[in-house]
Amino acid sequence: MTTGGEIQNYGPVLFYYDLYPEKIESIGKVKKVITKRGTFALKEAVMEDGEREWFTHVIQRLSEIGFHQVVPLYPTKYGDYTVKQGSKVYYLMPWFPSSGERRGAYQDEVLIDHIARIHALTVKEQDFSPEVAEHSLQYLMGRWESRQYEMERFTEMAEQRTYMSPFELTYLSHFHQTMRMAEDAKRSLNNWYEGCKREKRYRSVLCHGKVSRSHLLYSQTGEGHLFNFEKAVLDTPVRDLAMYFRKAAHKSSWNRDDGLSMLRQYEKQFPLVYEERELLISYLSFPEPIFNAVDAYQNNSKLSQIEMVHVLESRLSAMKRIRDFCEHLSRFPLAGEQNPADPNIHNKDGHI
Amino acid sequence: MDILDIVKEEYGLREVSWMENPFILLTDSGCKRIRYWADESLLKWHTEWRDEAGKKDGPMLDRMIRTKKGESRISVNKQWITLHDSCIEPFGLLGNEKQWGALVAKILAAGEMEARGLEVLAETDEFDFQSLLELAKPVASSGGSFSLIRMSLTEARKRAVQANKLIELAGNSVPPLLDPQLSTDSGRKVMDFLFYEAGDQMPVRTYKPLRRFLQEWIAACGTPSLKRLLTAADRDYPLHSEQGFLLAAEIMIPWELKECLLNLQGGDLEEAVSSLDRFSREWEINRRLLMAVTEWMDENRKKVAL
Repeated sequence: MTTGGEIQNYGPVLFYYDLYPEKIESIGKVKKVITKRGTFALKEAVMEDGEREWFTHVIQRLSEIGFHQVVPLYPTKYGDYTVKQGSKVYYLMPWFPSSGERRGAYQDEVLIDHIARIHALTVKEQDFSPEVAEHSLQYLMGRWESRQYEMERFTEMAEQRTYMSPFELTYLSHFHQTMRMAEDAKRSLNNWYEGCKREKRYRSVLCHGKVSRSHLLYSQTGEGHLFNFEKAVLDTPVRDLAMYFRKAAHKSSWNRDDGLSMLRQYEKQFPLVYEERELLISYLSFPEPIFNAVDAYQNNSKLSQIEMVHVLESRLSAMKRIRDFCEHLSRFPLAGEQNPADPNIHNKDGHI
Repeated sequence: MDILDIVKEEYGLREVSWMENPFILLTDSGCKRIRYWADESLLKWHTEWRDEAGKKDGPMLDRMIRTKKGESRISVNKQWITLHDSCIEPFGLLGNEKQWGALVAKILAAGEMEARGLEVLAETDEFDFQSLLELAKPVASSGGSFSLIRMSLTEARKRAVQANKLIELAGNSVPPLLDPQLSTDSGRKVMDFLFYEAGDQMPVRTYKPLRRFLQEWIAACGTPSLKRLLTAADRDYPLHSEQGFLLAAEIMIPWELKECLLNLQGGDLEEAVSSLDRFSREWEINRRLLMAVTEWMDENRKKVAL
């Protein structure tokens, strides 16, 4: 529905594009802008000045390196790609029809395929620095241990109560299992560090930063295009993968075979190396979503007690699926190289 | 090729016709203004200055609209032309101090940009009281209507001394480059926001254009509104410190007296009467402006001290 207020609100932004809207519809954070000159998608975001520049650079760079499956940005009449209004930043894209009729699994395949392609096109072998690797290890290890400590304190407090709440009861009954996941994550993180030290390598790629099916749109020719590169960053490819698998595991129908199939799909274009695989297991295994649910509970979330229990249970189930996936992942053959964890291979190559 | 066809082609417009030949166009993307530039470095400064001001949100300057190829200008008949939005509805002053203040701050901040390759006609027009006295000699000895000039000379001397003290206080600071055509008449209303149509003349490194702008403001809206305007500008561009001293000094210098004396040199009686009349009005407005600005600065100092 369009209101005069909406036209008034977005009018100054659309003035930068010489667009005079006849109708504006809100679809999530995107506004569908219907004008005499066509239909457009106006996206609202929050970005600092530096982030705006980086965001524009990323979109242009992707096109330069041959990745054209990005929803293009229209420049303003002054040649800029974003418009700042108050605390918000806006950018304009062509309007792509809804992709609702497409099957979920197909969408995931396209998404993973595009992400792998971006990673392959932007991969850069960084100069390995043992100090930087150790700093990363210590930083993450420190953060995780402090999170574990916070959760232990919550557990102790809950145990002292005469009557525990349903949320506390649910959490406590899974506490040991949760802590085991945290320990597994730390072990894999150590494996990543040892692998980096041994191989003296570290790869960075352009990460989308917000990998999600909802950031994939289909053009009229049916080709999938990625958008929302607002959080794009140069980092390990594992960052995007961990985000994807974490999200995917929240669907109750998701299982380890779906995960392995998507990883296989990804590795067709960008095979992970041993230590990246370990890092992926590590990121996925750490039960941060469960800890976040506890934080929300402690910070008096607006949700009711029963809703909080549902949230926690859903995250526990997702973590269980993730754990199953990770267990298989550690045995899943590496696409690009031999697994140094396999003693036979190690002996043959003389790595260890 | 006709200029209309060139504009249509280069800017990807579908319909273009003259509304006011050779400046205002009516296009399918609204009214546009064509500006003609003979000096490339001047054009470059105006383009970069407008773009610099456009980096921040808030009131907009009439930046150069880009061509289909992303160029900010096109070359036509040994000169350059640029295309800008052209709006008609004026943007009110009273009650809109925040928006105007934000615009002033934007313009001042953008004026700090380096003038690369531009031979800026920096205002070297330093005020010299002795040369003012020389100019005043012929009229000071006459009586009648020139008594106003004679009376103003004493005040002018005080103001010149005070202005020099303020300039010393500002240390090494210099004013930003300013568009000499800065005016309250150039604000337009576009969907409730302030759109400013800037000029195309050589920038000057002096606060004279802002002084004139503030004179227009106080004459139209009064002292309380002017103070609100300065407060709004000060939020984004510090006017309470060194730059404020330079602005206050510029307002203090009795330029209006010098201008009047220069006009009186011609000896034409009709012109002399009109010059004296104008001087009397400007002197009064500037007196009010000076009081308002110094009061505003004092109030600001008190706030800081508290």
